[in-house]
Amino acid sequence: MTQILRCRSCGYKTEFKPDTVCPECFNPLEVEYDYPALRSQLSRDDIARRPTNMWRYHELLPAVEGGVPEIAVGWTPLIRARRLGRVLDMPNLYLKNDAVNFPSLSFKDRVVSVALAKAVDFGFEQVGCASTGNLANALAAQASVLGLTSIILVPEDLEQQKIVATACYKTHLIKVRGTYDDINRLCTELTYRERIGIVNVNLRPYYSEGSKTVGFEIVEQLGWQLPDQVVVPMAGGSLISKLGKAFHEVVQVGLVDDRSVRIFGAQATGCAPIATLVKTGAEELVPVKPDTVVKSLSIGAPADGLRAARTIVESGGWAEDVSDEDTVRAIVLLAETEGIFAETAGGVTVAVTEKLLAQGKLDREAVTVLCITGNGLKTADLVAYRTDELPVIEPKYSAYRECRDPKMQMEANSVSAI
Amino acid sequence: MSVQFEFLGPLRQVVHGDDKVVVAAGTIGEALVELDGRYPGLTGRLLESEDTLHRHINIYINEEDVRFKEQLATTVKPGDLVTVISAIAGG
Repeated sequence: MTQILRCRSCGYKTEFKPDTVCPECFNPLEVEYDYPALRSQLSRDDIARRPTNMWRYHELLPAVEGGVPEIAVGWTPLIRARRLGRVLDMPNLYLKNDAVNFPSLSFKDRVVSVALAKAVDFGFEQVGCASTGNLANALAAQASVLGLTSIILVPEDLEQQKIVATACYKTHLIKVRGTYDDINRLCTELTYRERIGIVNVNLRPYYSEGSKTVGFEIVEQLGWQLPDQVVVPMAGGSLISKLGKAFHEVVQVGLVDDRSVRIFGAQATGCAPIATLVKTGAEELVPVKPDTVVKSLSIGAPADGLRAARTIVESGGWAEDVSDEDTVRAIVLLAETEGIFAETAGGVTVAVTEKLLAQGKLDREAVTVLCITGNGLKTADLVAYRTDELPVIEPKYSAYRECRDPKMQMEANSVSAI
Repeated sequence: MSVQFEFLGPLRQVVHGDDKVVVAAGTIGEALVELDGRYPGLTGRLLESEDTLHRHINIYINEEDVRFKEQLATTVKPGDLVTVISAIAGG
């Protein structure tokens, strides 16, 4: 089976190499597959017999000369969210829970798995990334396992938990005085000046394909059917675009019957260039300077912003943004109802779902999947206020009874009654 | 006023591989038009339209993205370093 890199804009084709820019028109290069050939090669039964990780769909991922990676990334739970569904009045609500992805507790483990497999193929001994945190964790973890030298650049003001969860691996972690977008520029320059595989620059065509496995898994875990609606957090706009591609591909290769999937995007109001693009219908994205606690979505100049907006609009979906306050409230709602402690992007996704329901944009009855992309332990400080007034007692039953005040009883009851 | 331009990576081909290019101009837009005289076809490849930069190309004056300033109308002054670089990164 032949895979190539193709420019989506001018059609320029080239063999696999570490590059992301079309030399003819300077638009992005993307991996292209031979779908007619795959239609006769790929079956649900074959896939079902394979190990439960993201590489069970390897025909729809960039071919890896060195063989499928051993680190078992992906196959995260798809949860029927009955309790959150009752709160939101959505009886067919599901959560794709990448907060428990392996090894570093976010969907970024998927993209790194593909990028590093290709980095090894291309002979890179040094890899790197610009990151808002989750990617830093994922790259540091998998590069350590593979014995690659990793150079990770993060904004100076990144959450401490994400910095610790990167520094614990064997990596060269560098804080940069600047925004994520400033670091992206630096990383792009690095690829021109040094022999380094930056996963989200010169390895980006392969890296971004890893996001599709979220979509493949959703389809398989729903019993080989497409959902009606998905709500997806947006930073660079790659995940939502690739989900659209994944839903298209499973139809193309004959794994499921065609059915329209409405795709909805979620951002924080303090950094919402893609949501703004969807809502205004503008032709070009206007970059912003991020101002939000939602660091994992703080990309002011998203490379796939326009494509993300097109994916949303062409699917019949919509995009919205929510305040930091609503984000934190939604993190707590998700934890209290479904037992999932999500990082800020998960809060944004749940809060945007509420907003879209209030606007009548989402169909309450439809099979709907919310993508929870990262773990709350990475942004725990945001909900630390919940520990401000914890009782401290002597180890006596009388003290225990005293601290069980009526207010706490009421809160406990209200949650269990949902 | 002379300003130094630096085209990085694949974008260097629009200035025929030249390392650094010096141009006299008052704004980024004027500089690109001037460079187009030297390297025919340059503006056609770097711009979406007469007044809009290609969506996957960034231009920085020193460290500042011109999209956060006046875009192609952003003024330049002697000694500025203008960097032209691909914007396909991140996420």
